[in-house]
Amino acid sequence: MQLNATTIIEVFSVLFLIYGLIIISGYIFSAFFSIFEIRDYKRRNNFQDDAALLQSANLPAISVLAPAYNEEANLVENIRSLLTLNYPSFEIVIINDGSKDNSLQKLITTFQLEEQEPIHYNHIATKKLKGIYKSKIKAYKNLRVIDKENGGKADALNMGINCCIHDVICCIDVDCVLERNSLLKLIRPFLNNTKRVIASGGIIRVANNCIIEDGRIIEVRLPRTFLGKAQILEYFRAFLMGRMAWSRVDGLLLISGAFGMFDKQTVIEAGGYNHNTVGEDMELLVRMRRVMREQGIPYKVGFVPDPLCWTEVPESTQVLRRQRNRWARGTVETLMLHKKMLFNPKYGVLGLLSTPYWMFFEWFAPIIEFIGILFFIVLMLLGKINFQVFMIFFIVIYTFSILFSITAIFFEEYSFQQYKKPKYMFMLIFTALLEPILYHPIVMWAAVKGNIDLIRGKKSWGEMSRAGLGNSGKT
Amino acid sequence: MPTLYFNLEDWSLILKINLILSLIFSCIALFFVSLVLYLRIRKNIKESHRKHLEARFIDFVNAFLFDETINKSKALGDFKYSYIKSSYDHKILIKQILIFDENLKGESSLLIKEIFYGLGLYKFLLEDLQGYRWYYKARAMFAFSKLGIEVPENYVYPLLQSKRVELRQHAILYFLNTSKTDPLVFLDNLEGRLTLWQQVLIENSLKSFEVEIPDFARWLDHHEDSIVVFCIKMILSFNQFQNIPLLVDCLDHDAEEVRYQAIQSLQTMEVSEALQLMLTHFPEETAQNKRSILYAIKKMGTYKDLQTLVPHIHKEDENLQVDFYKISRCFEDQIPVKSLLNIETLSKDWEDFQEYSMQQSIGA
Amino acid sequence: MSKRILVIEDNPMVVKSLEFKLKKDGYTVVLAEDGRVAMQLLKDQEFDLVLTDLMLPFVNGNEIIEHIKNVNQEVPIIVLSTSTQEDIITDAFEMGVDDFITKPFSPSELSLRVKRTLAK
Repeated sequence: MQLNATTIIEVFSVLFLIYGLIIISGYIFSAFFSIFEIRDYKRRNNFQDDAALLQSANLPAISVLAPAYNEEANLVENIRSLLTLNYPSFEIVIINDGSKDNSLQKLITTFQLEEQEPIHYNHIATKKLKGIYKSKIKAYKNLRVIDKENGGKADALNMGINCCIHDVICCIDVDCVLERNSLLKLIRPFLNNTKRVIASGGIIRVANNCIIEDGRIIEVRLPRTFLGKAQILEYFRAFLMGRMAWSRVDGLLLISGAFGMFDKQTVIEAGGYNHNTVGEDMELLVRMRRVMREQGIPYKVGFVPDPLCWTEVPESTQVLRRQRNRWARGTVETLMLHKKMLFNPKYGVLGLLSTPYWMFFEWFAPIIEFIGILFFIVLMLLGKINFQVFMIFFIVIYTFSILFSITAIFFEEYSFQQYKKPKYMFMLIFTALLEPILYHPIVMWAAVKGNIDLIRGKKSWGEMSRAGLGNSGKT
Repeated sequence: MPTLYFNLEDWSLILKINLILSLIFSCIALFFVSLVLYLRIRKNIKESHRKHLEARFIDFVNAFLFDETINKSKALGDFKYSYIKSSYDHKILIKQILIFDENLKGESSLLIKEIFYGLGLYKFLLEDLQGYRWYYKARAMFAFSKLGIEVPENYVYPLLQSKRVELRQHAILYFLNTSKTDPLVFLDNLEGRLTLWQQVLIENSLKSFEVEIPDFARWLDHHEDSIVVFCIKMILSFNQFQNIPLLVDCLDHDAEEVRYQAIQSLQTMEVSEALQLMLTHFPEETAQNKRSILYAIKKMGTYKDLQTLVPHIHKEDENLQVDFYKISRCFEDQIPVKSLLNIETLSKDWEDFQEYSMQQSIGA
Repeated sequence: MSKRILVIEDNPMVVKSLEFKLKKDGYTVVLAEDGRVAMQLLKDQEFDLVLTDLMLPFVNGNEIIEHIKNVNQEVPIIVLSTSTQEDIITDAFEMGVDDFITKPFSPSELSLRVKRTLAK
C-alpha cells in the first residue's frame, strides 16, 4: 500500500512536471515573439503620419456599432465623446437592444432625433426592428440610433450590421473609453496590407479609478482594489504577451468584443455574430478565419498594440466570477463548434497552433490545475505525502507565475508605459507577489465552474453591474 | 519518503530540479524588477526634459517666424548652443519641426527649413541615413521627404532596392517630394499592388506639391489594377475633367474594382452622360457595382432610369431591392408607384411589383 | 479697444503660433484647447470672432458652430481644419461659417482673412 501510493505520487509528479514544462515553454515562446513584435511595431511606427491620413478623402468610411442595453446613466455622455473621434468619415450607430430604462427617450430629446423610414438590409436574420432615428441637427449628422426588440449583444450587433452604411465596421462596447485617434490606428492594418484584411483588434486597458472627464482619459491611475490591480496584470499578460505573440504568427483567435474592427463583407459571408454562444466575439473571428481558409482566400488579421480602448473591469468577486464563468463557457463553446479545426493541418497555424493552444492553455489549464490541487489535498489528508514535497511544488509554481507577471510588467514598461509614477510600478510588482495566491484561485474556480455549468446546460448572461465610468474618477 | 527531513542529498531528482528552477525564476524576476524601476525613473526624467525643451523650442520658433526685430542667425546660434546637447534633443526637435511643417505653409515653412539647417538637424539626420540601422534610415528619409529637403542621391538610390518595405516606401516618397518634374514616374515600373496606405501618402504629397500635377490618364491602362484605381481617384481629386472620356472607358474594364471606382468617380463628378452606359452594363455587373449604379441614378438620374432596371433586379437580390426602395423614395411624390412597395413585405412583393412596373412603362 | 478673438484648437504648436501672430496683429486672443472649455468661454464672454478647429476633444467643432449660431448669429466664425474633404467644407459653410482655412496654413494669409472677416 505504501509503495503503491509512492508510485502514484512519482508518476503524478512526472506528469505534472511535463505539463509544467509545456506551459513554461509556451510562455517563453510567447514572451520572445512578443518582445520582437513590440520592438518591430515601435520601429515601424516611430514616425507616424496621421495628418496624411486625416486629410485624405480616400480612407474607407467606418461604421461604429455600439449596442446599448440599459445604459441610460452614461449613454449621452459616451455618445458625445464618440462623436469627437478623430477620423475623416465615420458614423456612430447606437443599437438600443430593447432597453427597459429610458435610454431611447433620453437620446431623442438630447440629440433631437427624428424617426426615419425603417429601411435596412437583411444580411443577417435578427430580432425585429422598432425604429431608426437620426438627428435634425447638422452637428450630429454622424449619429444614428436603432431601436429594436431585445435579443442580446450578438443580435444587436447583427442588426447594426444590417443598418449601417459603410464597408468597415468597428464594434465597441458603448461604455468603453476610446482614445481620439483609435479609429485611425485600427484602420491601418486595413490600409497597409496587400492581402484581404478581415479584422483588426487592439489592446484593452483597465479604466477603473482613472480620471475620466466627458469620455476621455485625463489621468491613468491604478484601480483601488486588489482585484482591479490583479486584472491589470492579467491584461498585460494576455495582451502584451499573448496576443502580441499570436499576431506575429498570424494566429489570433480573439478580438475583444469591446473594441474590434471588421470587414463587413467578410462578416456577412461568415454569417454575422452567433447569438447562441456567450463568446460571440471569439466565435465570430474563428468562423471568419475558417471561412477564408476554406475558400482559399489569402487574408490577414491585424493587431494594434497601442493603448486605444479603456474599459471598466469588475471589482467585486461575484461579478468577476460571473464574467470568467462566461468567458470559460464562450471558449469551450467556440472550440466545440469548430472542433474540426483542432490539429487539422488544413487550417495551418490555426489548426496546429492556435486552437490547440486555446484548448490546452485556456480550456484545460484551469481544470488540470484544479484536479491537481484536489489530488494534492486528498494525498495530504491521507498522509501519503509530506509537507516538504508540497512546498517545493508550490514554490516552483509560485516563482514562475511571479516571473511571468513581472515579465509582463516589463513589457508594459518597454512598450506603451501608461502608469507613469514609479509608485504604480511598485504597487504592480507587489500585486504580482500576491496575485497567484489571492486572485488566481478565484478565476480558476470560476473557469471550472463555467465548464460545470456548460455541462449542465446553462446559457444565461452574467449581467455586469457597472459603476458608471464617468463617476469613477470623481471622489 | 515518509518523514520530513532537510538533507538535500536525499532529495529525489524531481525535487532538486524544482528547487533549482525556483531559484532561477526568482533571480530573473528580480532582474526584471530592477530593470523596470530603472527604466521607469529614467523615462520620467527624459519626459520632463522633453516637455521643457519643447516649450522652449515652440517659443523660439514663434519668435523666429513672426518677430521681425530679432537677429535671426544669432538666435539660432544661441538656441543651438544652450539647448541641443544630446541626440535625444535632436530627435525631439526634429519631431517638432515636422509638426510645424505639417501645419504651416508659405513663407513660414521656408523659415522652418532655415531653422532645420541652422540647428544642425540636417547634419544629424544625414548621419542617420548613412548608418546601418534601418529604422534610423527610415526616420531620416521620412523627415527629409516630409520637409522636401534634398540629400545626395547616392544615399537614397540603394534604398529603392531595400528589403524593408518601409525603406522602399520612404524612398519613393522622397523622390516624389523632391522631384522637379514628373513626380510619379516610378509608377511606370511599379510591380505589385499599390496599397491604400501608399495611395494616401502619395496623394498627400501631391497636394502640397509645387510643380505641375501629372496627367493621371497616363496610367489608366497600367497592368496593375490598384494603380488604375488610384489614378481614377486622383483624376477626381485633382479635377482633371479632360480625362472624363477615359473614365467612361473604364466602365468596360476587366477588373471589378476598376469599374467600381469609375462608377464612383463619374458619379461624384456628375457626368450624367455616362449613366446610360452604366444602365446598359447593369444586368452583367457584380452585386457591389449594381448597387453603386443604383446610387449613381440617385445622384444624376431620374425615376425612369431606375424603372428600367426593375426587370434586372431578381427576386433573390433582397439587398438590391432594399437599395432600390431607398432610392425610389428620393424621387419624392411624383411617382405613385412607390406606394405599391412596402418595406415589410418587399421581397415577397417584388415579382408583383416587377410586373406592375413593366405594364406601367408600356402604358407610359 | 482691440477686437477679441477666441481660438479653439487642440494642437499646442498651432495654438502658440496663432496666439503669437494674432497678438502681434493687435487682437486680444483667448485660447481654448478643447471643445468643453470653448463652450464655457462662449457662455461667459463676448467675442468678435471665433477661430476654431473641427476635430476637437470633448465637443466637436460642428457642435460649437451650431451653438454659436443659435445664441448669437452675428459672431463671425473661421474654421481652421486639416480636412480638405468637400462635404466637410460645404457642411461648414451651410452651417454659416464665414471662412474655411485648411491646414497647412500660411500665418500671414490667415491674418489677412481674419482682418477681412472682421471688417465685414
